[in-house]
Amino acid sequence: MVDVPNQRLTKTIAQTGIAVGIAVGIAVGTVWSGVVMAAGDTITYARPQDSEGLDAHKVTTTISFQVMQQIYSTLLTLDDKGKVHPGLAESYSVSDDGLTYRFTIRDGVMCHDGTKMDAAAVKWNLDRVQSPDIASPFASSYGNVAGTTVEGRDVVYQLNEPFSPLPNIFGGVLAIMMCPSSIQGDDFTPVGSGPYKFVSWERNKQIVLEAFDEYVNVHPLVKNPGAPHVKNLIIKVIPEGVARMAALKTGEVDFAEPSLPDAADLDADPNYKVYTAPLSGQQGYTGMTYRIPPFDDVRARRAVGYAIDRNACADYGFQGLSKATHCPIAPGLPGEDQELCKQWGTSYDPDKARSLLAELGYGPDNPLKVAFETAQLQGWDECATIMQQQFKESYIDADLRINEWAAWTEAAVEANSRTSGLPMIWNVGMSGTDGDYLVFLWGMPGAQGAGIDVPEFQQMLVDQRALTGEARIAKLHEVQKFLLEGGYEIPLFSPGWFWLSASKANVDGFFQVQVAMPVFNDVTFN
Amino acid sequence: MTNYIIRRLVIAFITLMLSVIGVGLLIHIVPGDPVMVMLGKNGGSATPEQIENMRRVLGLDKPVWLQTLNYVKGVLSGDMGQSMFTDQPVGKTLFNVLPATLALAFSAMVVAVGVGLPLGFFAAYKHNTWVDNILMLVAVLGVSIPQFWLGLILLLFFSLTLGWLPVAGDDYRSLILPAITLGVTFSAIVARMTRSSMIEVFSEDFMRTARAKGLTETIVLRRHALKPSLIAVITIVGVVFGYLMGGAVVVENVFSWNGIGRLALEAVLRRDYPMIQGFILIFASVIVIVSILMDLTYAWLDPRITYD
Repeated sequence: MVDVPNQRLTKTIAQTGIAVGIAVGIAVGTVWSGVVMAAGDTITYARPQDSEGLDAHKVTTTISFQVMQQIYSTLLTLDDKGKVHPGLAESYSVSDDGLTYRFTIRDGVMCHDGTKMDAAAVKWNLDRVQSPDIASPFASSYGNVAGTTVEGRDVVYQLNEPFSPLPNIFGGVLAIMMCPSSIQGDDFTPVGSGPYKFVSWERNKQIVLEAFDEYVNVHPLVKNPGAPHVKNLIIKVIPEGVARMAALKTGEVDFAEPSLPDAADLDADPNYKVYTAPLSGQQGYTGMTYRIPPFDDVRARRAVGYAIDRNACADYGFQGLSKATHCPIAPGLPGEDQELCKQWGTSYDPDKARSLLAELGYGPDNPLKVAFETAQLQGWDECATIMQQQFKESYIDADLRINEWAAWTEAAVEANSRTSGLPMIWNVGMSGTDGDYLVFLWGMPGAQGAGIDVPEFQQMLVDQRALTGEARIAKLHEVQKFLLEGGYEIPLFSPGWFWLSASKANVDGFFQVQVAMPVFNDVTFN
Repeated sequence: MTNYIIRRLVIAFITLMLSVIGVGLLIHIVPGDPVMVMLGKNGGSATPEQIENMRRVLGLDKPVWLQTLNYVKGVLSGDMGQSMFTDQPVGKTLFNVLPATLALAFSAMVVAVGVGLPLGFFAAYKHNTWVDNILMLVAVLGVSIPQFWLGLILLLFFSLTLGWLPVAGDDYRSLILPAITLGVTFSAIVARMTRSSMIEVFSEDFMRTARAKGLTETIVLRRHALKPSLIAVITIVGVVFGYLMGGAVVVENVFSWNGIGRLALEAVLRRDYPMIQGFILIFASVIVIVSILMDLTYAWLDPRITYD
């Protein structure tokens, strides 16, 4: 080793440190600065993900709808009981045969760019959804469409088959109406007639919206008759839950989607408010590959139902912020009746589960082996882990696989295409503004190929679409009775995804409407 | 030299094309169907015909080899395709956020080299002493700290507790914590690599000769040890830059830094094939360019190295 005065070496290291500091300064100085807006004039809402798109005819995710709900309007609206109210359409009527809907569009509704949101604009939306070139995932959500015509202020919507859920679907975000000026050649710029107008979007960073001064509210749940009280709305992406909470606590954002543990903590803190979307229309449930033995036997399917303690899922997996449910139709939607569903379905009873499985030859030495797939979402993986333990008590050996959505769908589609091999149990969720989504789940071919090919059941699904009022509710009960008694669907909890919000206690007027859509029109800061 | 550069560029082009083709083929092996992801949980009751129509519109109805071939043709004509989910041109989307990732990688590199190099140099100088042992222990700890964890700790301390730095943003203050998080981890690697190469340099004959000539220790270190060690440093910089670009995926997510890594992560989760291929192409291009620049710098630093 060579002896050198330590001072000199220390000096050299210090010089290097200073040089590094200067270099870091130069490097970071090259980065641009963001938009700064006056506090009080701006609501900043932090979410874990960005919207995929703002073209209402193409994107399907809750996280995208949450922004589109601010920019666009719906043809009709829904109150907290799911009753249909006017929206862009001031009224509507249905022909006796249920095949013709006539929507009278409100006069004088303006788009953010000054163009008119009139009957022609509504027709443009309805036609575009059906266009094969757009390949809209909503093409069959609006019924079996024969065509749309405009008669003065009326939009005449002609169907080939009756579709009574239509008003409820047109009251929610699945049928958002954009202004035709959103599309200019190949370019898309979101233009709507909703409470906020689009200003800018930096993908994966933030969407900036500004209150639309000419907005006239008709939504039954919104108190503010005009433009939103707070001028700017910034919807920011902060992927990491800890960072979102830090941003909320430091005041960098006004609203944040908390993680479940954070939400439970904030809920107990008087300085914060937690919102849990009571009108979510979301329903988490368990399904299974009923074509693969032993799930081709109702006893095996109901045994799975008896093995599950849905309360444990809601109370521990979701920290008590979601509620255990018994109906395939989500709380608050037409046809949901928890008491009836309890009678038809299964409740936690491991003895019954074991006894049913014993009849099929399964027991402690010969447990029922299954694959157990769940999507990776907060609360869902914890719930699945709890369920896996519960299954064990009932001699069901579940190989739990927690996958992201893409891999989950692939696994479910593959399992549903088989009639032999390892059976699968899965957890998934569905949301909507009408129980007609059961057709999407269990009609043929069904979601991920899980449709139930029992002709009488398929007929029930078709029939409920032709009925209205109490007759339809009765038919929806029949559908749910079939699903629950047959053990095809085991309802678990509601809500379950992108439904939690938190703010500081000085925020007033925030609430969420159907399908966990946030409403900022009434928000004020104390 | 010119011949060498041309040769390297040709090899780089082949490398990039092979990367794109390889990823284009392999990506289809990963479970997950973009159309099913697009339908989502809130998706409408799409019929099989509508699903097939969506596949046709997205070009997914064609065989995998043809999809890959079409993509390569597009890239060669300057078109990296459109995102399946956002409908935006992939090239434009990625190039919009590439500067943010490069700024992060460069800043982290400055931290990594700025901290790692003096530490490695000092450890080598004090080789086999308690100073060396402590510094290398610190380096091992540095390598072992998960970036995710370190990032959150720094964020909670500097943003939430002290309130000195913003949690999320895109100004220079928002770059400090991610650069430190990414840089500190790799400074440990730099320190270890620098130490190894410096120990070799210190034992070279020319070092002994320099000291025998009666040169002061500072001159010996500055004139005789520093330049040969720079070769090693350049190598380290090249290697670490690749790591930094890769590490940016995690750090960008923790600090909400809007870079290419976050886009890539989302694209993978959604199975947005054109976006994934575009990311690989750009990522590989940056690595290849850095690699060529490193090789050229060697020749500039050491006249004994020639490439003809």
